[in-house]
Amino acid sequence: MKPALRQVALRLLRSITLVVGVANLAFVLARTLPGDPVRMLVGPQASAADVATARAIYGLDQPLHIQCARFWQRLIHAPKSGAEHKSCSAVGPVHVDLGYSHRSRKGVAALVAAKAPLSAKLALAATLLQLVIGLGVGTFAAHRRGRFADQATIAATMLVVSAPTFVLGVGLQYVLAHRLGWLPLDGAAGDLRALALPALTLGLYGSALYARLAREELGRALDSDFARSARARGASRLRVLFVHAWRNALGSLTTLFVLEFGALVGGAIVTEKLFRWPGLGALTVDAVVNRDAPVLFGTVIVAAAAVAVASFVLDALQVALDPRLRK
Amino acid sequence: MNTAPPTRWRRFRANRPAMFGLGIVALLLAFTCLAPVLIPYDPNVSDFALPRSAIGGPPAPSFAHPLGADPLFRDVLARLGAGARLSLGVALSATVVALFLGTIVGVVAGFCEGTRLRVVDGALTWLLDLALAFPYLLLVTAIGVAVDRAGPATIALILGVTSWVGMARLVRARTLEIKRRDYILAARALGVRESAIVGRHVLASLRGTLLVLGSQAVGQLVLAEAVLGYLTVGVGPPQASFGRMLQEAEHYLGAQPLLVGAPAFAIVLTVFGFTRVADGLGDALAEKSLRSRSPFPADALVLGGLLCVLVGFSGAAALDAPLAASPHGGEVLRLASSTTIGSLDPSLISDETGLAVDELVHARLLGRNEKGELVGELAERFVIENGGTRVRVVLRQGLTFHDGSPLGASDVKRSIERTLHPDTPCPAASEFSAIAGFADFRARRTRHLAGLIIAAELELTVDLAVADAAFPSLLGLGFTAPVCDTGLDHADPTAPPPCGAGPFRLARRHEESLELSRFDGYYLKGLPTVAAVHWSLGVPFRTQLFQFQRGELDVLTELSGIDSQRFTADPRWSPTIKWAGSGAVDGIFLNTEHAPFDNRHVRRAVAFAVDPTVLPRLRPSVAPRDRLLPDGIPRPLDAPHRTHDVTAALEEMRLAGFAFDPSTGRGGYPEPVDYVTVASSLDQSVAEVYQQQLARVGVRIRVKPLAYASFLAAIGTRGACAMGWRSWHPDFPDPAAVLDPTLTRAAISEQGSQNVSFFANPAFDSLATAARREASTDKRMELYAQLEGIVRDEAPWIPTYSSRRIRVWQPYVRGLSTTADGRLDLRAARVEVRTPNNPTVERLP
Repeated sequence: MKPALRQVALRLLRSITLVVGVANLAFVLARTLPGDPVRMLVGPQASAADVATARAIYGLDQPLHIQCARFWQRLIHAPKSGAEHKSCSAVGPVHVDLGYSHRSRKGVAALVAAKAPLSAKLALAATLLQLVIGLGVGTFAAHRRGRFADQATIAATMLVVSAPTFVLGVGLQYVLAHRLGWLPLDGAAGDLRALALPALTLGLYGSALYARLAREELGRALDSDFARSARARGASRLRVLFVHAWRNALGSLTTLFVLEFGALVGGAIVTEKLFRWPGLGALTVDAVVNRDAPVLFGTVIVAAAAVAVASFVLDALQVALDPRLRK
Repeated sequence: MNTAPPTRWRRFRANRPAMFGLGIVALLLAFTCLAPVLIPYDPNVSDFALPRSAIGGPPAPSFAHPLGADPLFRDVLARLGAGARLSLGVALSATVVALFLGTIVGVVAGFCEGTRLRVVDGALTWLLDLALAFPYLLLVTAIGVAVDRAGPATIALILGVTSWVGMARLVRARTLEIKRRDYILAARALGVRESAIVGRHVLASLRGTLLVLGSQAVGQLVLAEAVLGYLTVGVGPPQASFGRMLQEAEHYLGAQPLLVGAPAFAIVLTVFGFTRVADGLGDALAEKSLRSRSPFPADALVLGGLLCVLVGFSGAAALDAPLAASPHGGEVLRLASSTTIGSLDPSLISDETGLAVDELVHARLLGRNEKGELVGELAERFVIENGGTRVRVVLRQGLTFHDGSPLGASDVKRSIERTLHPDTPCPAASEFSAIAGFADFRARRTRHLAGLIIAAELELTVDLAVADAAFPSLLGLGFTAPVCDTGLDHADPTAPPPCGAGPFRLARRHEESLELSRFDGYYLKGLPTVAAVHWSLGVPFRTQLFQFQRGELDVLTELSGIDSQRFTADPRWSPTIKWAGSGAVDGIFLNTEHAPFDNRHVRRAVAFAVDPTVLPRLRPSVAPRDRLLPDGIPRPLDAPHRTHDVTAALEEMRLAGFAFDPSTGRGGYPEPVDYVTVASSLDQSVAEVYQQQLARVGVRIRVKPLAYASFLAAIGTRGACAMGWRSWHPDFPDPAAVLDPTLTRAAISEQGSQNVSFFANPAFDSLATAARREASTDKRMELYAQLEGIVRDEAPWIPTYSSRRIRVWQPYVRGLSTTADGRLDLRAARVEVRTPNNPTVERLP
């Protein structure tokens, strides 16, 4: 048991260093982006003197490495009271402080905490669609391998991933919402109907990945010896497909599922912005546009943490699903 | 690939989808090579002689131009050819870079695994995980923005160095597999050096994998390039690429869907082709043979189907008919803006949308009548005394704030001090420096502003240290609007905005929308008429237009150029459309400290060469302009105008020592000059027109579109930009609000300079100061005529156009009007809901 525990601890450590690494990379990026957050706050026509005054008031006259050091220093700390900690959010026994957004002057921790559930909601809906469409198409294609139906469905899913996401999204909005009037135009309402277009865009996009992978893996399993012997023993084609082949394909599909979901939870940048879905992705875009470094830190850390957690879970799941990996 | 045995090729050939993909790729390459020969048009040259389409859009498809022309009147087919060349070239070179990096890192990591050097493997895989955990799009965009130059080679490099990570992982996994093979072990046992093992055996075995990875990557990188181009961090104008073409056509989705459809289909075709080839290669290498049992070519049919759908939707959709009654009921007026709002505190607001909302919440002391003259608003009247050094403001009786507290002179004093407090990051504090005691107050030497004196309960006197003819205008701005007492002496950006005395109170604020509700204690009795205003924020133009046609918006304040044209051309809408000036002036700044514009003659040459009269052909909202002071500003009658004169421009170039011969194209200024502008703005298209016009007098400019934040930082930095876009929206309609903050020496600084021309002219400065102190309007205007003359002759800033704003509203909205400075006045607006007389009719004929 002891080596296993060590394994888990090492894996965890690796995940944490990854998140810290990503946050620092975000810092370097925010530093290399040309542009002045204070100028973005006071507008294009403020005089140089007024910009300087505002810079001092916002505390942005400090050198960047000091701002970064201060950021790490206050990131996680024990609860304290005091006016300088209005930007904190309590997470269990500790406080998380990501500072203030330059633009909205709200605490970044609270801002991110308010947006994360919305991104998760979209990720969940999109993933569900991806699984239903993707696995359905993939299984069907594997079943009809080499025939017209197989090639046509796979070609159709490939067309979907061959267009940039924004083209797919705008196309869906134009046809389904504007010309046909079936769906709300965007996701700003944040309710279930508003979820339709962004979830459909991401869902269609990801489903092509699932469809191709499922077809590939199921096809390989159907070609294998165990499938042939099952057929010889009198199992029906469908039984072999759904029971034998499926169990074998589960490993790769789980990998795709966990990694895709992890990436989506961090916010779908283009889709959220396109449909005004008020999640982390849209927040990230605005942070880049307004040179809002604290918010960029916040969203990138959450996105990276989601990916790290996902791959951690994946490792555990793979061991659970595949007895061969348990030594 | 001569080592690939013929059986693999045969397997590939038998794979019908793969061959179909190969066919697409071959066709694309043929199109790319032949386009410049077959299409007789230059993809980068506008032909403004082409006729507009029926609805006033860019030229429609014709025999000579099978796909029509783009918004800048350039042949779409020719641009598609050039775009394919660029997009494919970038994707192919990026693939080579990515394969190179991915192979090196993957093989090194794979080889170090399990040896003494496993630390290297650990570090490399950690780095790979790091790169994978970072949002890819963000990484590419950030690097694209940070890297200044946007040539094809740079873009290829950026894409290459950001997309090798996935490849490296796969290569590492393959290497691990290969190095455990028996023949490698045998080679090692025979004493072959590791480097030779890698070179001779591992790389040879990897070739197939790399081929598959590479062909897959080309497709993915075509997509990535499209996204970059769409986000305007791709290749700079005027060059065409698939992504740029999409971005340029974005607003034409409703009016000319073909402009979007053509590059979109080209991208889909390219990516599809390369992916099919990659899949086929993978199957052939995996020794899988899947003989197609289908009698029909599935891929061709599916692609054909997509083409049919595209063609089916490629006709322009007509605008919907106006609605007779609000589909929502209730007295709510719905508006939207494409931007979001930073602050809603009147002391801090700096953005246009924030200002429009703030005017509804915080009533000003003074306003302007239809003639543009200052009149009382919350103030009943104002009087200028003591030769212009004292302004007496008398408030109306019985004013109250939203919270019910009475509004008196002490509140006005408190509000102004709050704005100018040293702890308030007010964007315009320095404009108030004429008030007596300003410097002491800002330096915290006094607790109150000495110049503000409460003369009576409803009377405030403002003493000025020097006469300032423009000062009363400042009392019409939000910075001096009275706000409720928050208990703080300064404006805290983290606190919610204080209430005011405007017609609406702020009921709710979300990131995506605002809700305002009627304030019944507004000083104009009976106003406002509408119970609430709902303002959506951050809504793209396209979505706004769709929402408006559905009746989800009642008033449309933002429309793309082409869509405003469609509304203007539609007789059903003409009664409910209004165009208004924006009050801003747009033009070209020339940095007078930067070569070649440190030479006055070159500046004058540019001023003569630029011809803004063609600009309305780009967008109907553009009004060409030949002088600096915007409309709506009282200005001298015999003001000097700039003229367009190519001969004079050539003469000025000769005087500057850069004689240019237009017939041979020889001479002129030898270096290309960068023109900075904001990416995907109207000015970017305008700049591409300047580019063509200035080339005719020997000034070759390169348009450099930047993200807005980068643009603002760049133009204000001394020595950074030679020329670029200058747009100025004066805070109040007075010549002083245009000239003083932009062209005087006081406005020059090393960073964040507002005098972006770095124009230093002592005569100009002394005239500007004299004009500001002058009490007589006639004499002031005489001085401003001289100042405009200096700007025309010295040409530090060449005014070329100003944009007009369109308002379209549904006919059920009544009583809408526009203020003198072009803003929407919602106070008397009403929304007609369904009435008994009109129970069913929703759309007008």
